[in-house]
Amino acid sequence: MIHFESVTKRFAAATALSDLSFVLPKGGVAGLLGPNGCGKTTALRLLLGLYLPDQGRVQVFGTPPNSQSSDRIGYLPEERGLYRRMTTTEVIRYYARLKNSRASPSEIDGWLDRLGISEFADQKVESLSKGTAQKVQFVATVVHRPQLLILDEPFSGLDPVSRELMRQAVLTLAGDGTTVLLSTHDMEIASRMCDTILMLNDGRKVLDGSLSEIFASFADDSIKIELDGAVPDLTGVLEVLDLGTVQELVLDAGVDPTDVLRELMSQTKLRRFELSTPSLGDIFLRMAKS
Amino acid sequence: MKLLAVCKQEYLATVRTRAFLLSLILMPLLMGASIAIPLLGQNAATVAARRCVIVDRSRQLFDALQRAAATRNRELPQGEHYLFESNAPAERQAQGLALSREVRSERLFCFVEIEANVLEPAADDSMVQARYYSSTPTHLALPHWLQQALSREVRSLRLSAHGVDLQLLERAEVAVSFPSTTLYQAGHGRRTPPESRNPIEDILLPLLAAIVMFMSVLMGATPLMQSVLEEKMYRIAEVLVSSVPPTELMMGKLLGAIFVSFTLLALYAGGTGLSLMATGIPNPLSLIDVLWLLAFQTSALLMYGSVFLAVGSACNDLRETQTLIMPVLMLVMTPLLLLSVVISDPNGTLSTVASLIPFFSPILMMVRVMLEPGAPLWQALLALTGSAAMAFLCVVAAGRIFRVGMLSGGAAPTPRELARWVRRP
Repeated sequence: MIHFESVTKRFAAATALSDLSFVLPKGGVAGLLGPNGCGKTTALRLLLGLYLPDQGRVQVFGTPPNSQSSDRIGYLPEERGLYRRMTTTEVIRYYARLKNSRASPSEIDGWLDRLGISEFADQKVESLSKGTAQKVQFVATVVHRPQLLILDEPFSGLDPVSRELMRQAVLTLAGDGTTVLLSTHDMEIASRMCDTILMLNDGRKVLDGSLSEIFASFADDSIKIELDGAVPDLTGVLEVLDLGTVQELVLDAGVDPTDVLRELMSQTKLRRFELSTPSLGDIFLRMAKS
Repeated sequence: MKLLAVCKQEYLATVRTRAFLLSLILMPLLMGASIAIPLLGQNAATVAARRCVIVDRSRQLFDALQRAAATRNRELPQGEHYLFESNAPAERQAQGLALSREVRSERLFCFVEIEANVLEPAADDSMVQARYYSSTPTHLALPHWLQQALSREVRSLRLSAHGVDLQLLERAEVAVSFPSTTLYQAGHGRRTPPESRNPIEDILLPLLAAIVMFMSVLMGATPLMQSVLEEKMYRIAEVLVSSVPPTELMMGKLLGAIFVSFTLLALYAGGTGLSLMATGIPNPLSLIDVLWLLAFQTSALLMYGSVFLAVGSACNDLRETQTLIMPVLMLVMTPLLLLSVVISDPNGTLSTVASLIPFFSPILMMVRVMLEPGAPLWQALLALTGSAAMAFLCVVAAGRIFRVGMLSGGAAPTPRELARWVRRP
C-alpha cells in the first residue's frame, strides 16, 4: 500500500529524511515512531504529496501521491484545524466534500453518536471544548471511509475515557480493513495498538518490523540488577542504564546472561538479578540514544 | 467537484457574514453621504445673521454694498443673511480695537475697512485698498463674496467716472450661449436632431462603474486574504492541502471571490436600474457595457485576488500582512487617482498608456469604453488581453507562493524568499 524507496528530502541545509526505504502492506495498524525532529511529519507529508522527494520514490496505492490517492486517505494532523464559525455538521460535511464524498446525515450522526458528541452536532466549532473539537476532527477524517488512515498523535490531550473511545474506533476501522498509520510518541498506545513498527531517528530508519519480531529480537538482551556499590566493568555489557535503585545492563549479541551473573557474583555483593525484556519505550529510548 | 466545493464555501463564508451585509449597505450610503453632505453643507444655514461692519473711508461704497447684500440675501439658504452696518471712519487704531472686541464677543461676525484710495487702480500688489477682519479665518464664503462685490462696485464707479454707459457695457458682456451638444445622426431613413447634453450626466455612469468595480475588487479580494490567514492560524491549511491540490484550492477561492463581486455588481446595478425605472429615466447601460464590465471585473479579481491570496498564505498573522499588502493597495488605488485625467481626456496619450497597463486596465479601460467617444476596439481588446495575461501570471506565481506558504511557519518571508518560492515551486 505504501512504498518508500531510497527517499531523501532536504530543506535548505538540513536533511529531514535520508535514504529511507520501507514497505507498508495493506491492513493492520502500523506505528511510525521516533523522537521530535526525526522526520515523521516530513514522511507523512511526502506520503500525502504535500512535499516531493529530492531523491527516491514514494508510492501510495501503487502510484505517486496524487489527487485520486488523496481521496482514499484520511489524515488527522498533529495540529488540529477546524473552521471556527462552522457548525460541527457543516465542517464534517465540507471536509467530506473535499474528499469527493457526500457524507450522509445518518453517517455523520452515527459517528458523532459513537464518539459521544451527538449533542454538539449543530454547535459552532468555536464553542466546543478542545477534546470535543478533536473528536469532531477525527470524524471529519474518517467519515469518507478512507482506505488509508494517517493519524498524527490522535490521542494527545484527550481524557482517558475519550482516549479509549477513540482507540476502539480506530481498532474497529482497522478491523474493517482500513490500513492505519499511527504516528505517536505514546509507546504504551503504540505497543497496545500496532501490528508493525517503523522507527526513525535523525531522518533514518532504525527499526522496522512486526511488533512481535521486534520484541523477540530484543528479548533477553538485557538484565536488571541491584547490588551494593557501583557496577564493575563486565565482559559483554554494551551499556549500563541507571534506573535508580536498579541498573539495567544491555548485553552484546550472543552473550550468555549466566556468564554475566557469574562475573558479577565474583566481584560484588548481588541482591537482585533478573532477565529483562525491554518495553517498546525502552527500545525507543535506546534507539533514540544510539 | 472539489473546486466547486471550495468556491461555494468561500462564497458563503463571505456573503453570510454580518460585515459583508453591513458593508453592502454602508458603502453606497457612505459614498452618497460623501457627495451629499458637502452639497447640503453649502445650502445649510449655520447662523441666522452674519453682522458685518463696514468702515468706508472712501465714503462711496457702503450703500452699493448694502444693496448687493440685499440681493445676495435672497440667494442664500433660508435663515442665513448678511447684515451690513456702517461705521463712520474714526481714528484707525481705536476704532479697530473697539470693533475687534465686538468680533471677539461674537456680537459681530466681521468688519471691513475700505481705504480712501480704493477707486484708484492699485500701483502694485503691495498696495492694500480694503481689509477683512474676522476671528474665523476658515469661513471663506463671505470674504470671497465681499471681494467680488466690492471689485464689481469699484469697477462700475471707475467706468462711470470716465463716462462709460454701464447698461450698454453689461449687455455687451453677456456670454455667448454655448451648450455641449450631441452629434448629428442619420439612419433608418430618418435624421435625429442633435440634443444638448449635461457633461455631468455623461461622466456619472463611467465614474460610478469605476467606483463600484474598485469596491467589489476590495470586497471580493480582501476576504480571500483573511480566509487564508485564518486557515493558517487555525491549522486548517494542512487538512485542506492534503485533500485538494493547492492550485485547485486557490482557483476555487478565486472563483468564490469572483462570484462575491458579481453579487455586489448585480445588487448595485440592479438597485440603480430599478431606481432609474422608478424615476422614468431610461437605463443608460448597454449590454456591451455590461459584458465589458464583467470581463474586466473577472480579470481584476483574478489579478488582485491571487496577489491577496499569496500575501495571506505567506504571512502568519494580520500584522505581517499589513506590511506586504500596502504596495498592493497602492496598486489598486492608482487607477482612481488617474480617473480625472482619463475623464477629461479619454483618448489622450496618458489615458491611453495608463489604461493599457494590465494592473490599471480593468478600471481605466472600462471608464474609457463607457465615456464618449469610447476607446478604439483594438485598445479595449488589447487591454483585456493584457490584463488576462497578467492575471494568468499572477495566478501561477501566487499558486507557487500559496503551495509553499500554506505549510510554512516562522517569520514572514522577505521579498527575495518570495521570489525564490515563485522560481522553485
